[in-house]
Amino acid sequence: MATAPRYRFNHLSGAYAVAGDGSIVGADGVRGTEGLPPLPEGHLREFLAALRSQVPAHRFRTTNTAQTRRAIKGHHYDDILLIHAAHLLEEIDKAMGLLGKRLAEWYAITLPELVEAIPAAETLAKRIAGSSRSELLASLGMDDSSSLGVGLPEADDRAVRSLAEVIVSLADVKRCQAEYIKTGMERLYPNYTRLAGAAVGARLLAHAGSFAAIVRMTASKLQMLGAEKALFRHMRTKAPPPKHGLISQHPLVSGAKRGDKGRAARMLADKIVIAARVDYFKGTYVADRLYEELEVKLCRS
Amino acid sequence: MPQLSPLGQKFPNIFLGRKGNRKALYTKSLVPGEPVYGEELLRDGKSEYRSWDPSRSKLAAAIMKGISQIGVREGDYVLYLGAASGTTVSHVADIVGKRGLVFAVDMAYRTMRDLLFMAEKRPTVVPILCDANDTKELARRVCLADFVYMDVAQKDQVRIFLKNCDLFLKDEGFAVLCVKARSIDVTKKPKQLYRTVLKELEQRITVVDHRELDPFEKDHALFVVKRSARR
Repeated sequence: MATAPRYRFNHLSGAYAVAGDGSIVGADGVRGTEGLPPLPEGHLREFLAALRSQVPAHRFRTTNTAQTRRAIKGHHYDDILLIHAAHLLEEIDKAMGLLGKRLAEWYAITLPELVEAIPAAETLAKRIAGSSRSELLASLGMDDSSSLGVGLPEADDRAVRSLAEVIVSLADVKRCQAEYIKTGMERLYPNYTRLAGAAVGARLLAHAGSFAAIVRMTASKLQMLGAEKALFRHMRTKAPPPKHGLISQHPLVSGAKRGDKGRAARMLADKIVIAARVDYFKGTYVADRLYEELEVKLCRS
Repeated sequence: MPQLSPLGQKFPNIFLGRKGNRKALYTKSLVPGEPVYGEELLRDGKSEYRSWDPSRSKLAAAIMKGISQIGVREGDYVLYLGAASGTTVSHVADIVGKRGLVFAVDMAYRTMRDLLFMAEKRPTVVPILCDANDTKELARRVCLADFVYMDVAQKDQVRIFLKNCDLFLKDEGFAVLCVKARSIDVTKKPKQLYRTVLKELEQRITVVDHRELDPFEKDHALFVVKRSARR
């Protein structure tokens, strides 16, 4: 016994003609469905129950899978690409620190004077990878007898040297990635990048998870990004609140006088969030003006 | 031959076994030969059983903590909110079996990618990229469910849960809510917070049972509720 169609409902699994009691009386292409009024909310549950009993499960699956695949395929990954690069940069830093320490310990067996003279991992690695032990001895104005180190057999020397080469190439990758981040940030978010700087901006972005998240953020939250531990400690106990998180790496904050860092962080966070919103909603370039305002305020104090 | 015993009527397709001298849970695999997250597989003739790790799945944790029932039955249509990568989803799909259906809803692009691959091999899993709070959009994509499961770690998750139960849970259907105390309010003591949640739930729906999930999942609790007959 068919009831007359009274409403329509455009479900993902199909467009349905719905009777007054919420039951489905026809799907896709039932004559006259287009002219029917949409299903009122009061009948939604009855309709969903009718879907459950009248529509085969695989229809829900195929239509939803297709829709979900489309959504993922059509997603914009601009900010996520930069976030990966920003994370990579931090990972390379960590790796270089670790490998640099290993290299220093290892090479100090054969030439401790060089290791002593060059504390920077990258420079040390470059020197070791680029010249032989005797050349390095000569550059220090020493010879084998005056050095504390011992000459190594060819195979051992090659092993240490290969580590030095890895560090040198990591340093190259790091420079390339930093350049990639800078260009990308400036192209996608010119205002935001002018205020936050490419490096700090990318780190904030990585921490927030997406550019949209930064746009929706209050300035005070942006100011605290990276200081979660201290912030939650403050909320749980009577510990003092943190003044800044990642934003403290920005030259305007790190360069501020001791008592002014909190103020600088707050003002900078304000402007960064404004700039991010301008970028998000495709506004014009206003960052120079914002930056000037900030400098004026900070210098006056 | 592994020693597995069924956990009883209230826990369909769930089995109890042993790992060393510890208890371990298993679900009877819907698609033998397809592990989802590198879990242990036990073969028994034609059937296969997948190890269900309570420290990776809150539903398994609640069972290990001795919850009286979880409310999900074989053949159920499940609305699963907060599906993530589909670890628990795959076990729920095992439980409801091939006549059941699991609408796996999540709003994160990244995890939905994993979920799509998992669902490809499981004809009863429906991947849906949608915000659990957006019931209007959800109503366009799912149908009435026999069971609702929610694990979304949102500040207002109780409200979102009740809203979804109102619309999508059938009369006399069961639902499960996972509560992460730390995402509702970090300043409150978890125990105190569970009492508030319990009160909030009881105003609207019958709470059947609940368990804290320590030590499997710190500061989490799981509530099983039942919708009353037509109001």
